[in-house]
Amino acid sequence: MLDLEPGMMIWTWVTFLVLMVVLYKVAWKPILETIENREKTIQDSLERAESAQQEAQNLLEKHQEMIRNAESEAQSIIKENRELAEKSRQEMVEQARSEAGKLIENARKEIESEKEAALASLRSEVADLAIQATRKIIGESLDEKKQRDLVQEFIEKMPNQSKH
Amino acid sequence: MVLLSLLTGVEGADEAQEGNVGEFIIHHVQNSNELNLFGYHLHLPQFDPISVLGVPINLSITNHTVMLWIASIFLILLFGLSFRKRPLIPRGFAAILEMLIIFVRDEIAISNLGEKNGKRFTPLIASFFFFVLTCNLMGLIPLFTTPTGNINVTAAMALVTLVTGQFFGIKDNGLWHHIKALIPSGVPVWLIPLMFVIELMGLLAKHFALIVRLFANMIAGHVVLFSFLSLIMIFKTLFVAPLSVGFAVFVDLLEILVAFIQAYVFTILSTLFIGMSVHPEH
Repeated sequence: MLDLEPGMMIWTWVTFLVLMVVLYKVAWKPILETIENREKTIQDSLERAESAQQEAQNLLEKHQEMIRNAESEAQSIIKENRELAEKSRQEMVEQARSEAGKLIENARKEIESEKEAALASLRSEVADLAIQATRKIIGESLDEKKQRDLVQEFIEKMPNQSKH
Repeated sequence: MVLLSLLTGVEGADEAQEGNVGEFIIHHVQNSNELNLFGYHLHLPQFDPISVLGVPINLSITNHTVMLWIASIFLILLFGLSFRKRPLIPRGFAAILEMLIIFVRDEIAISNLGEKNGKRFTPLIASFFFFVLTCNLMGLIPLFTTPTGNINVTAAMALVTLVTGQFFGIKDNGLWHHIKALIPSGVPVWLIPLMFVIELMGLLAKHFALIVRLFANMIAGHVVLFSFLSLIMIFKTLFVAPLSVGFAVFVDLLEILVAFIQAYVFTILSTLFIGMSVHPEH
């Protein structure tokens, strides 16, 4: 059982070498190539996926940045507009207020002047009426000049209340 | 083989009654000049030994030679037919074979030889693995025998490892560096001749261990299996048969495990030895 038989060894070598050559052609070469191609494909796919993810991440960051910028810009625009509106409102109110003041002033002045005029006409009317009445009562006793002086005196003596 | 051994066992029992059981067992694990074809013993062609340099070489076709051929044809057909179409991702049985090839490439070749040399030696290592595995498993099939249970076959395989390691060691590192790499660095000068002889013997011993390990493991399972079955003949009663057959089946299942383990061990040690020659610093 432990005898060395060179013939058997030679047959083993021949068989093994032939087997190895045939298997190399039939199996190992194509199979290992397929495996390596597949591994390469997987590796490439992984790398591509990674770079795509990186790109997506960059884009996302960029977009977030853009959104943040837009938001702050919008905020500033809103603030600006609000300030502007506030200012213009203030101005309008001021203007309205001053205009109203002016109007009131004008109205007051007009009323004053109207009153002045009315008083003056009333005065002359009253004087005429008084003269006529007096003429009727005392009958032509006094000349016109004297009468007028008399009435003037009378008016000046009148209480001063209606003047202002 | 269990079934067959039962048949031939009973048939051979007449002889065993006169002779001894040991001879019967040895006869069954030994190489022979005939092929058992369902009980018909085909005599294989025999040649007269030719003498080369005074060494008689008998190139007669033996049972184990035929078994080696059967294993080779089986492997070629298996891989050839499984990978006829070559999709990027194989399915079914091809996927299992591919998984084994990737295991051999990554776990045996690349992990012991490194990326570059691993890929370079993968065809050889994969051939080793599948050839030894097929030969180991053949003995478990009725009518077949285990060629790796023949020390000449394992010796031839181990010599392939030795020659490959030395050849590529010299090719890659140069003859002088390759010889120098045998001696560990830091050895005093006066010890170098002694160390050289010791390391050379160590190198041969490693490969000799490779020969004996595979051969002994393959033969042992069969011897144990036959011994259990021979108990029936020894006690000359059928009452031990259930026990014998039960143990024989157990040993047979164990043999499947051993066949895989030994194929793996033989391959990984061959790879290691080749790696030691190719990368002497490791």
